[in-house]
Amino acid sequence: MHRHFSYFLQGLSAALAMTGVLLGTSVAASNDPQTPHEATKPGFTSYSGAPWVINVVPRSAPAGTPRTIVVAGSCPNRFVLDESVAGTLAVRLQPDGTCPPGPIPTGSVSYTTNAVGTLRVVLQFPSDPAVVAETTMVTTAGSRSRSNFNMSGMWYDPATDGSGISFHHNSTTDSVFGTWFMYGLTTAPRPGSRWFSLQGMQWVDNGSALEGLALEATARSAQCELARSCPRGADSIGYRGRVRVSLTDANNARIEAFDVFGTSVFVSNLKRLVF
Amino acid sequence: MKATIACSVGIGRVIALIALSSSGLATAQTQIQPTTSSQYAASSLVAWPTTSGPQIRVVPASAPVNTPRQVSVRTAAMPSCFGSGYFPRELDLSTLSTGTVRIRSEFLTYSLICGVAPPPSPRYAEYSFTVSEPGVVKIVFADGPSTTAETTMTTTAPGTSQAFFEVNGMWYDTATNGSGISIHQRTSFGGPAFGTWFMFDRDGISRWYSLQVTSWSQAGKTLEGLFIESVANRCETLASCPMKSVFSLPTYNFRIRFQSSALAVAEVFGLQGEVLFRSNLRRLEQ
Repeated sequence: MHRHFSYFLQGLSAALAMTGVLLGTSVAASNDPQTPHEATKPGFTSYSGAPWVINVVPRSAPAGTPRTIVVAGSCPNRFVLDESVAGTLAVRLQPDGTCPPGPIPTGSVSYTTNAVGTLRVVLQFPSDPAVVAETTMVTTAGSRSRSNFNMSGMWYDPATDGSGISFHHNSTTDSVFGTWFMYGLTTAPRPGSRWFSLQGMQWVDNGSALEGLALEATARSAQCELARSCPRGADSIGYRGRVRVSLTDANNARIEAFDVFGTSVFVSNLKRLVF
Repeated sequence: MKATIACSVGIGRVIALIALSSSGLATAQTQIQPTTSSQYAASSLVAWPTTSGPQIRVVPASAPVNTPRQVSVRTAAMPSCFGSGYFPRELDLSTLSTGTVRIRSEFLTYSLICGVAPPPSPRYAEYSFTVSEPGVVKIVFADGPSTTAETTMTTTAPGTSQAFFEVNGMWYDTATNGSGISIHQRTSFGGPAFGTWFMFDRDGISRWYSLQVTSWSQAGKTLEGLFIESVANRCETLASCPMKSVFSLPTYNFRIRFQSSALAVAEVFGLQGEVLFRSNLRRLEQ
């Protein structure tokens, strides 16, 4: 079994080493995992840090596939993994330090296993046996999936033409990095463009599907000089949900986005832009 | 010099634009009706200058033939509920060959039902078209008998170079790590490239702009084109979602000068040709 975890604010240059801790504003968080989120606010970006949630992405994958364990809650900026109980992986929060600004406090740790079976993954506070939140991780026999198609290119759904996804696929490493261009709430002057990066993407289902994280960055620590928008360094990157891309063939795919609670929030039937 | 109405620019619709650019213009329309909406008034990139009189601008001010152009007019502030003033009407391109075109204005008296009267505000008009021959044209809007706003639009010959480097990939500036540009090059390598520049607004919220209607120059080492803002309606229930764009603003010009297949300098230019921002890019090793 191999595992590794690290903690750093992730920028574009580190995109493909998806092991970063995703930091956000410190907010009051409940330790009651049964607290339901508001049905009217399942938004892709509107999670306000109510209950603690733990996700494994991808949840089911062949042995040797790197997973990202993501925690949403208060200010989860450090973890310790505890495998002392057979069949259980405990993710112990070690909150310390200060949290940078950001709307959703999330953190992550990378984990890879070759042990076939179902693992219970629990979130716990330090020195407290109580389970704050839990999920499962399924590891199937076989080896890590390779892609069936090269994803590089622009993809869009004709029903939402004007939004789209850029995928860059390294055929040597089989790594995929995506950026999803869509629209959403902004402060001014009107609803505007928003983008999310798709990282930690792993091939599953014998290379016919991809699963990974949808992350959103914010940049509040610097200002544009002349324009209202400009390239700026990100000062926080947060987990907004996970995505699953199912490929029909080389030019058609379906992407589904899930919020931090696992609720499906939207689906796009993608076509590759041929130009 | 010929002109026609340009189509709007969605990600899927870039194909139509490329086809338009390569095949020339089949038809010419000389009377361009305005699209008037206050939502056109505010680009997320640069605001209108705060001056009292009428203003006019063309974006991009300088571009190759067949590039979609957008002329915007802002009148002087008018009372919101009742009053009178000169309203912009059609843009007359029939005099394009003379080097001057005019936006007709019409004097109207109006009376609207208002509760609490909002403060006086300007009226806006937008005109979209393309020009198929190189040249310099003055665009004039007369707001009354004595007040005139004008601007100049330059149309250059199309770029004919082929791309020198293979530039597919993600590009970013280490000084602004977290922002970046995604570039997809046409399979045939020498053709246009399609890009998306993702960055942040002044509130720190993510924003993206597409790089379209591109052409290569400087022996295939410079990529130039339009820096376009797309706008959509509000998502019904979510904070963010994929939406169909309702209109696009060919906001400004961009230029990316490639020094190699791994290094480049990208710039976006404002109305006066000033550099709004610049990024010293390197390609992300994936």
